[in-house]
Amino acid sequence: MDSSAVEKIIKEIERYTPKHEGQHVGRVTAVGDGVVAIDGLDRALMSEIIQFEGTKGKKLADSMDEEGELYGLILNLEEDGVRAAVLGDTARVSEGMTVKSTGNILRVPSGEELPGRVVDALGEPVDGKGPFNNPTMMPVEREAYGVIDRKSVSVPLQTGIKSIDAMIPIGRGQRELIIGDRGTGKTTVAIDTIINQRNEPQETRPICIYVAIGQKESKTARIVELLRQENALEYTIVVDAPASAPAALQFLAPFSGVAIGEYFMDSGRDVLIVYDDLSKQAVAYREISLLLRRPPGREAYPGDIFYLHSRLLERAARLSEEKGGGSITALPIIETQEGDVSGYIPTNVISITDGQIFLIADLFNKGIRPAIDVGISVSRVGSSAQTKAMKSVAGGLKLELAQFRELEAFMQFASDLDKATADRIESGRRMVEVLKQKNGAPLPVEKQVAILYAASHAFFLDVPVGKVTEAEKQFSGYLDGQHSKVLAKVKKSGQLDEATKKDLNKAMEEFRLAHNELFTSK
Amino acid sequence: MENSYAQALWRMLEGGTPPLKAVSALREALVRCGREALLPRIARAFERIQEREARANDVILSVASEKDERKARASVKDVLKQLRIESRITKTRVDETMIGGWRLEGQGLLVDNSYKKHLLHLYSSITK
Repeated sequence: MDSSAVEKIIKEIERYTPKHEGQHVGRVTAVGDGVVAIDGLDRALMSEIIQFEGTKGKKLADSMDEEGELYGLILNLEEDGVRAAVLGDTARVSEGMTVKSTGNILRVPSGEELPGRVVDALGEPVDGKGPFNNPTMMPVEREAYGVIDRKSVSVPLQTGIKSIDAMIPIGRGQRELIIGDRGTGKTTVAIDTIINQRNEPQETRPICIYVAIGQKESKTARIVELLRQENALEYTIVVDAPASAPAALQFLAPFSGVAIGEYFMDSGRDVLIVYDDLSKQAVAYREISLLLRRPPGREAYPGDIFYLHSRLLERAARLSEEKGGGSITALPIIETQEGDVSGYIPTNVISITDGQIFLIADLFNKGIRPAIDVGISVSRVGSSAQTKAMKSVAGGLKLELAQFRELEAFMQFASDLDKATADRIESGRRMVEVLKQKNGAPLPVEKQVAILYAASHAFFLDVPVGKVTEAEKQFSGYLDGQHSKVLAKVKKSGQLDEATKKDLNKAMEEFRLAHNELFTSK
Repeated sequence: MENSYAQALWRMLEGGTPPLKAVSALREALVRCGREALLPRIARAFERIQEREARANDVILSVASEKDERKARASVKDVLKQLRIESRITKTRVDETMIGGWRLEGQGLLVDNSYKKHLLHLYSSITK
């Protein structure tokens, strides 16, 4: 043993003064499936943390081998005792075990050390990089900011996905639901949004939090690796409550995530939080509620399932300047079954959020990715945060695509079409191609503006539909190489003035001359 | 459901109703509702309440060995006063795993002054 360790031991022994404080205790009377019934604990608080005394009757050596303290969370206060969820391995709890009251409500560590780390639902690091040195403890349950402390959404949060930034814009402080069947690219949209934040200047770049609820560990590991490869992990915190975690931790994880985010929001910074996904959280909460013997309601969910999601999502906010001007933007994800958005949980979350991005399996299978149905997707507050440049190029886009979808359906029955209709269909087809985007390749907003400007000025009309993606990619590279000043100007000003439009027209002409082989449609 | 009936019965008795009267009133109520079959379960639930109440009034002193008892009893006198536990120690237990010291548990409170607890506390703060 080295001398520093000996010194530490001596210091600890010298500092140690035994206390004779009485602790309120109870006794476990029943254990089952992550929920315990406790007798006693007369002064227990709702959502209080309790500690299970696992060392009673065990020898010192065995007690030292115990894998950390075991805690529980009080969820029901009853006439003759309390019921609590075990925040760990239920197998360690036995009947008759003493339970100590801590007098504390659940808190998780947050602070400057957290970005770049992977933590569990209780904020404990699970990435093997060691404990946090000086974290700020944030309450997991906290009342959301009130009306006076808030201001309306005015700053855009760029997702880097053309169809979203153009037609369903998201503002900082907004809650935008991502909804769709399994395997339609919901997580991809969220992760691309996180990756795209690397294009933001460091001083305005949001801290990103990805909360994985009930996901496979392999999926979360893949996401962490992707974020690392894309240099996005340095500003991202991953809160992991995998499918193997107790239901209590799965239902707590989103609250822990937002509590971590509130530290940054309170210090005046912007936060982006992704809840992947709230359907699984609802299922975990239903499991806990049924075990707690709370009366089941529709689809066996408890009566307060709406409140569970509303109190979580209300914590997303844009604060007033007096409160520091920070924000939390929430991107909750909901998984639907067979495209049914009228289910209990989907309708609840749709009504709570400020808009939805619907992802459709049919579009996904047709190769249109991201598979966003722009017809039913909406952003209720984001347009006020959209830059003028984007507004000017994306104004008629949604309508054009909606008309194209109508005509596309009609086209299947009509044998010959008039020229105007045929032109509209051709233009729509190309627009759909322009809006396609590979995963993991978010585009900076200035480039989106340039591409959409070109698309809305019939630039791709002479390109065969199959080659539009290639033409767009080359045009994007050409702008980077030859017209980076124009892009920088759009980025800086956020506007598309006449001079910039002229420059873009010039760039389009030059590109067309240089790549004539692409423009062979007619 | 049996718990609710048992609690009601307990309260009646606490309120001063004579036991026979309380039980016959309960029985009549159960017959009226057609729930007479619940009686044995109510009896078991009532026993549980009784045990719980008895336990709540117990004050248990645990020591590592019998020879520590006298010293421990003297030590806990002040602690009992501090915690405003008025009743006396009702049970004494020997728990060798405590190594030394004492542990007082009763009326919903716990004061653990065992050597094992202190050693574990030191161990966790040193290895943290």
